[in-house]
Amino acid sequence: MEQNNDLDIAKEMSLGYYLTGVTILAVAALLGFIVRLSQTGALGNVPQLYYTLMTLHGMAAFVGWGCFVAMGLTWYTLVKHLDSPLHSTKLVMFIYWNFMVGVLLLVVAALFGNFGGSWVFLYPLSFYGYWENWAAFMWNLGVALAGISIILYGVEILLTIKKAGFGLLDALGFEILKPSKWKEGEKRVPLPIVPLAVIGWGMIIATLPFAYLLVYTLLEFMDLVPRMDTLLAKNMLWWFGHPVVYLILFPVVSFMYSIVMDYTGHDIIGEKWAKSAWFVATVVQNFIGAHHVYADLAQQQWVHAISEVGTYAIILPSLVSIFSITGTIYLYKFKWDVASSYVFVSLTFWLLAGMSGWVNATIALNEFVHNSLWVVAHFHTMAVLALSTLLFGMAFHIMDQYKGVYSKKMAKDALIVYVVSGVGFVHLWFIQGLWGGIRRSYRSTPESLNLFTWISLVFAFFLMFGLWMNFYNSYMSLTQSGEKVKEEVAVAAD
Amino acid sequence: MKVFVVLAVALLLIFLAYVIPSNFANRYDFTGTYLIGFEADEGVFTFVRLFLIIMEAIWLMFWAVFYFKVAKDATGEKDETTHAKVTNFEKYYFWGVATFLLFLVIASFVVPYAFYGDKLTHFHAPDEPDSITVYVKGTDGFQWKFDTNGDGQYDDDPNNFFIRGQKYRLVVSAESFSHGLGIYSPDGVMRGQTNINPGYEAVLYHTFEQSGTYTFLCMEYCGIGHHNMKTDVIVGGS
Ligand code: HEM
Ligand SMILES: [Cu+2]
Ligand SMILES: [Cu+2]
Repeated sequence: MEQNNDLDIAKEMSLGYYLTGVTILAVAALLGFIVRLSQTGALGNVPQLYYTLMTLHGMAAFVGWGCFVAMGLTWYTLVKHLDSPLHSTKLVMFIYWNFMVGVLLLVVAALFGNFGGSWVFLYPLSFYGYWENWAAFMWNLGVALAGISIILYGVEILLTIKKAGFGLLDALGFEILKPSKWKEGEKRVPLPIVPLAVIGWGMIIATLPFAYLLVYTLLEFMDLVPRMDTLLAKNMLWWFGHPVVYLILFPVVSFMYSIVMDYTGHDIIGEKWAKSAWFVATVVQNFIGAHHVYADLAQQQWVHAISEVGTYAIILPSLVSIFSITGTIYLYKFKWDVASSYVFVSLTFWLLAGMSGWVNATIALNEFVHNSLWVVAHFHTMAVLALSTLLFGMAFHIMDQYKGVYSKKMAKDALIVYVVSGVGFVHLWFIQGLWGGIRRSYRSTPESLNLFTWISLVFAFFLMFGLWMNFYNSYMSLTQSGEKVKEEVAVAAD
Repeated sequence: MKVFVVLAVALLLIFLAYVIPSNFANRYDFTGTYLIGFEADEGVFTFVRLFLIIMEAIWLMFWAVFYFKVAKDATGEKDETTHAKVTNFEKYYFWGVATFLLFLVIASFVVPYAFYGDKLTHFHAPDEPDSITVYVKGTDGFQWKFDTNGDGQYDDDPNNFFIRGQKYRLVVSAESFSHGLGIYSPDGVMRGQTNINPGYEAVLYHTFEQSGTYTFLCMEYCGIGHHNMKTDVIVGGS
């Protein structure tokens, strides 16, 4: 009974985070649509609108998926697979409210102070924009608060694992080095916990230097410190900016393991292989951010070389997970349902997004696609089609065990809308990128690409609509009664 | 769920229909109209465009195999899978991972370097004696300016300076905030780029292979003028 109670608490925390996140996303999708629309010129000459809303969209989508949804669903997954309570629910609440304050600052900075430095606001751009100084200050402060919550998220994961009686190194994949652990009947770290441990650790390491950069920028606004080395600042940004993407990716893999384990009723196959791959991730995840700096010819070549090799290595966890999950589904019983349909879609697009990422990761090719719309296509394939589908799947899976899903049919229909419009939407970007289109450019550059921008609006609209369907469905599931209840009523009426 | 498969295939076909004739969109002004999407002189782009199609094919294959084989088999009544069967399955890991790594290495190094090595800007000797040095600066007013004689004066208009076939050593810098220099040839193809942060110099070797109007565009977001940061550079015949 005690256990059950812990799980219920974690479930409510998860769903609270999730509902906040999905609300932010409903807005972020609308912003994305407006941003794309403004590029066609249909809204008149509005460069500020484009740059400011692009900045807010990028940050909101990221904060929505990463900080609220992926983090939120982590709490439930931890408690469920560790069979042990969270280290501190107070800390989990603090992380949430601290994020909320950060989000508020970001929104005010963008909407009232016109901040539009893009989601990376490359140092020292904050000091030179068309925005108000206070807005840039507030933006940097807002991101710094989010950074604090991200570090605490990592701490909470690690402490929860420790509280459950597992070794932290074991959870990070070091188990593969201990033969004694692999005897029949030995207790090992449950597989879904491993990616969470890896990201918990990785985020602490990734965020600290970036937090330094943010605080430095704040001090520079107050004229307390001189301009710092700009290339170093760019590396500090990406030291964080790349791994922070894993803040969504790694939990998603964990949730995928968890859902497939529930659906097949068995452990994921290839545990040792999977843990080996996560071990690799533990080691290299923090050394590859410089692949975003390949196009800086002023950067030392050995840094390029290390990040290229590291980036290839980080493909392993994805590859092995796709293999393990497909294999598990193949070997055991599998039932098509809401969550499993979302898993299927996520898995296939993971492969597509991964392959397009290989182009970015390879220096010889990166030289031509860097800062082009190809990159935007790549990460939206990952974010929209591979990650958000699974996050929705996991949320529906948890809601199913809560009050029930309001409408399973709507969840499946939304998936179809999502897939069809998403495929069209990202492909127009892939094409624009390969025909020279530059990212973060108000008006399609080169101009002749504008035709594709117009066409993509149709897809963008339906994509937004698909997301809203899931938003509505989630909101109803959590506030009203789910399909389960409706079915019971129907049976009673018969 | 079956509807997915049909839709995926349909979308792929529509997409392919776009890729082949859409090369016209590559041109700034629609003047050069091509019917086939792959022009040999577009270098690495030709390769990546082909790769996009290969990528789609692999993805669709995975989709089909998963849907028709993996998940379908699993839905039927199935005996409890034995431990031995699982262990046996895990053997495929070795071959799966090994094949993948082999493919990755071949694809990453052999293809781009073998076919386009001479067009890449990353791997040049520190000094290439036959090149002419030109200083290029990205300004706070969202323009590219040039210093062709090294006197520290940056001018707007280097017209009639650059010559086709000559190798240039472009020393790129930025005034107060970062930019990215992208060199677009007259047919609208991006031929090379470097990012640049204030306080640094990035060296980019470039040989203009066509005569006519090149455009230097900004590749890195730099503020309100980013999309207007375009400087025409006229390259004369040798
Ligand atoms: C309804 C779905 C979406 C639409 C219509 C949309 C649209 C857009 C557009 C038009 C841009 C500007 C691209 C450019 O011109 O360079 C953009 C950028 C971006 N989007 Fe989305 N997007 C969507 C979903 C997402 C999701 C789910 C994420 C999740 C993380 C995301 C993250 C970003 C980021 C990080 C940027 C870059 C912003 C920057 O460069 O500063 N988007 N999106
Ligand atoms: Cu990255
Ligand atoms: Cu720019």
